[in-house]
Amino acid sequence: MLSLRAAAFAICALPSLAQYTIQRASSPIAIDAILDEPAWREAQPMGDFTFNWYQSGDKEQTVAKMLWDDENLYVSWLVRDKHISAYEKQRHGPVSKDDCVEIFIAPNPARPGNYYTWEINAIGAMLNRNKADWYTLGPTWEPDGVEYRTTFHGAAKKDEMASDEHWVVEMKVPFRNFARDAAHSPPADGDEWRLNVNRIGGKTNAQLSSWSPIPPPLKSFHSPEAFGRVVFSNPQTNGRGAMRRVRFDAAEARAGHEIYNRSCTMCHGLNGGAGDRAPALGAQRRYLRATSEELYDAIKNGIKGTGMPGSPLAEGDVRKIIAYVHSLRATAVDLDVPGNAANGSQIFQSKANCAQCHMVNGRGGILGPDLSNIGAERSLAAIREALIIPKAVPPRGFQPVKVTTVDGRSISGLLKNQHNTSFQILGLDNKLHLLTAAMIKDMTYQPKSIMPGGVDKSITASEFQDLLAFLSRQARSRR
Amino acid sequence: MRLFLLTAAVSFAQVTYPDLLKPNPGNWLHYNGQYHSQRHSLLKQVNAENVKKLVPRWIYHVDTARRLESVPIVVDGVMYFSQPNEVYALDARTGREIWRYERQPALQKGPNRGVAVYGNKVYLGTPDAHLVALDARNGSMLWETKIAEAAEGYWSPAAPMIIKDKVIMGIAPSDHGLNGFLDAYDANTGERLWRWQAIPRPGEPNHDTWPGDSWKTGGGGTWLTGSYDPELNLLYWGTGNPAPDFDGDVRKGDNLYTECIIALDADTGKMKWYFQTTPWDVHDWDAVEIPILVDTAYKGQPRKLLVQGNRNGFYYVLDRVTGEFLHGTPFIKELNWASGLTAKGRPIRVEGVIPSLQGTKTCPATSGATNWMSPAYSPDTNWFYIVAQEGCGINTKSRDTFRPGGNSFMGTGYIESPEEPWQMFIRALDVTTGKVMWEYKQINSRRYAAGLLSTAGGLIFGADDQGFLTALNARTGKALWSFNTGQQITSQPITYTVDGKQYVAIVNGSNVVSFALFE
Repeated sequence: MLSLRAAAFAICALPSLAQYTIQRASSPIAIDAILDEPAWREAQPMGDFTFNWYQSGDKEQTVAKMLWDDENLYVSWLVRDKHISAYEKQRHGPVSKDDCVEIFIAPNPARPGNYYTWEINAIGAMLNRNKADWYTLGPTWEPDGVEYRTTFHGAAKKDEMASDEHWVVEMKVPFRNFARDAAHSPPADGDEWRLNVNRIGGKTNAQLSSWSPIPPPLKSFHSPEAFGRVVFSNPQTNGRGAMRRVRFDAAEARAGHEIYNRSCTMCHGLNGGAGDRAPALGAQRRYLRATSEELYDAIKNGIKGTGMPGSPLAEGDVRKIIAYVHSLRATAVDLDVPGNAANGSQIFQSKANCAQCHMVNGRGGILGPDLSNIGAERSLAAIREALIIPKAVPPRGFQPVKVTTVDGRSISGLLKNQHNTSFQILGLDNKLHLLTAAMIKDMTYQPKSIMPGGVDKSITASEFQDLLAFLSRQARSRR
Repeated sequence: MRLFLLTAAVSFAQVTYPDLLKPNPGNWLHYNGQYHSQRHSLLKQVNAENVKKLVPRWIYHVDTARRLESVPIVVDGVMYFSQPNEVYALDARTGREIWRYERQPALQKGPNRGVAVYGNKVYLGTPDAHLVALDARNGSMLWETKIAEAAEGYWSPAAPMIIKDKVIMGIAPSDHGLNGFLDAYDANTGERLWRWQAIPRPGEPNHDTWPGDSWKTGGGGTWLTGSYDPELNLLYWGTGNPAPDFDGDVRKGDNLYTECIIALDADTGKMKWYFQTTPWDVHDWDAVEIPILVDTAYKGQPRKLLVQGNRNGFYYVLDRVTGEFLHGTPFIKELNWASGLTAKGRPIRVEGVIPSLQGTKTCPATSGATNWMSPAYSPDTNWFYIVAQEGCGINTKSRDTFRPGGNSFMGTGYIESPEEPWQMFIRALDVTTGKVMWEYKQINSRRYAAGLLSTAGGLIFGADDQGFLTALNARTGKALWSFNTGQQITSQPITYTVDGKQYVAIVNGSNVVSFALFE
């Protein structure tokens, strides 16, 4: 239910979320409230701020920029402001009464509610809050190693003056402050965070504006659902070669699923299925393009001689789509299947009766396939299906037969191999019966596999989940 | 015939220790047929009279094969054979596959010489030096045990041997400066029960046959399968060369227990006796060749003998109770490194026939007067049959440094002298005197290839690098039948029955071929 709501929200709110790519800082940055470094000059502004609750007055813009390196996140605000005033001097004081800038950062895009705030007034008083669910130390927070400067930093007060034109805030925040919620610290190329950058206008013309729009009925900057999307870019790890690292990552795959459904389903089918104009990417077959590099080439450059075009998607998005395609093709062991595997092992041995025919790590019966590596061989869906739906056609080597021999014996078993002249049968008595055609009076092929199906009916739902958790973890060779 | 057809249809790999002690002649339960390794089958449906009617009954092709060297095991109509990391179970009557096992991820290193079957389990040694137990009925892996560190260069090509509830496993190689050992594992659990170390450590007897630290990289691999005397409860095994192979200057001494035939108590792994064929070997002549146990009259007295055709060119006759040397004689014509053997069986070295910087002519060559191809013994003729290679090598020497991690530590090597007429023979030796009774020249065969099989039908089966399986008259050495299998053969022939019909099978480069009389 929860996830349904989140998905519905994501779809309707998507068009209004601001987006920004945070580039690597191309030069060292001195925190001095002077944005003269080449890195700041080259950096793209994040974009116009939106006046969410505008009624009247002058819409004074803010030019915000962000950069990063291996240690720090850098933020700058150039605030157009004809009436600059600030009086609050206390650490964690109510700085938002003054001319003030803010940034609210959620390092985990799946959990924007876990966010961290910086609010800084024109004379350099700062308030920090930590809204993460794990934070228990009260209303304020002490971030580690933050450096910042404002144009009027350290002044006893700032009164409005006729010459007021703009002011600047420059700040750096070490990534270690986000390690608890971020996927990587420092971020990896293509990592997405959610955040918003805000501005409050002080005494005169006290406008409220933000980088990512906050649509009604939301009334506050503290609206993480409206946080914009930022993606960290690292050209050193961009491109085809960087894709080698992309394997399977559940969070990336989830993000990639959304991008895929948004960007690829004009031709490919929804959720990796077959579409009207392009094949399924998640079918159970051998793929022409299996590696991350091959998928990257196909997405970036298209496939010659087919309708597959090259895509202008951002590197990070391509990477997420690749992770998603891998997830479609992943076997069960790649997924962190929930459930109690130890209990599942018990269910396998006893209540579900699997061990009567199947062996896992040297324990169990011999009639069915050995399942010691099943998690690495089959998808979770295939394992679930095998447990639930009886196989209509027995797989090769497992055809049940009943044989009457010329000398009057009756043998029931599984046909391991057969030919016009000879038959190799593993009997239900666990013995091998090697017969020639001349020895056989009558042989009937049983219509169905002896694998019963309906396991979900014979045990409880939670036991079934535990059994799935157990089977999905059976892997002798992790690929 | 009809009666047989109706009875033996139920197969169930249930091999017991009494079965291993006295195998049903229709089964082939040991690498070399029986514990005494005589490779003599009591089957005689195929015999000197009718062998010309022998025809192939089936061929099983292994499409992933490189060079198969496995000796199949046959239990009640099911044939088990292997290649590195893989085991196959076939219907021995038709060659149809019942199951196959593939070990993943697979370090590739060959050859693999075969499996052992005991109870309902199939045992396999692997390229990454593990012992693996499979369920004989469906190929499911039951357990695996690490024998040694593959990262150090160890691997396990030999076919395991079963004694009581133990799996006896040798190890390879010696050429990397890795010290050899022989292990016994619990056949049910894979737990190691004992280990015999080929190189004595400081404080142990005969450690002083190694100067300084040279014992640490001494070699002495155990890479073929040995023999066993259940009455004496003694296990007989050959040990490999000392390392570095060709540079003996850094290990002046006898270098025990390399180049030895050893006798161990099968229960404890304690050594009862040893006999060293080549003290201070500098020619890489592993003494791992199959020791055959023979009970026969020696100089008028019944004796328990152990005989071996050694890679160094000598045929040895030992008392297998005490290890006493009784007799030795060359079984090749060109032997230049020793002028003979002392009364104790120690070689009398010819001065100067040691590897040198320029190269020294050495006969036999390092590839040996014989090698891994199994010999045979027929109690009907009382003769020992061996595959012999005539040819000399040029052996060279230089100083080498031991580098751990499976790097070769040879102290240089050898070439096969191009001026020599290299030639393979099958020779019959009188078992007690080593006198050559006949020889069969394998024309155009220059390289060692396949081993031998003797049958009560008065036949010796051999094969060669030209791909031929050939049947010889055991008394005369005359060829009676042969068949071109199309690929070099480097395995050993076996024979078995299904429903009373005798089959002769050989593994060539990539196939198992099974023959029976035309009908």
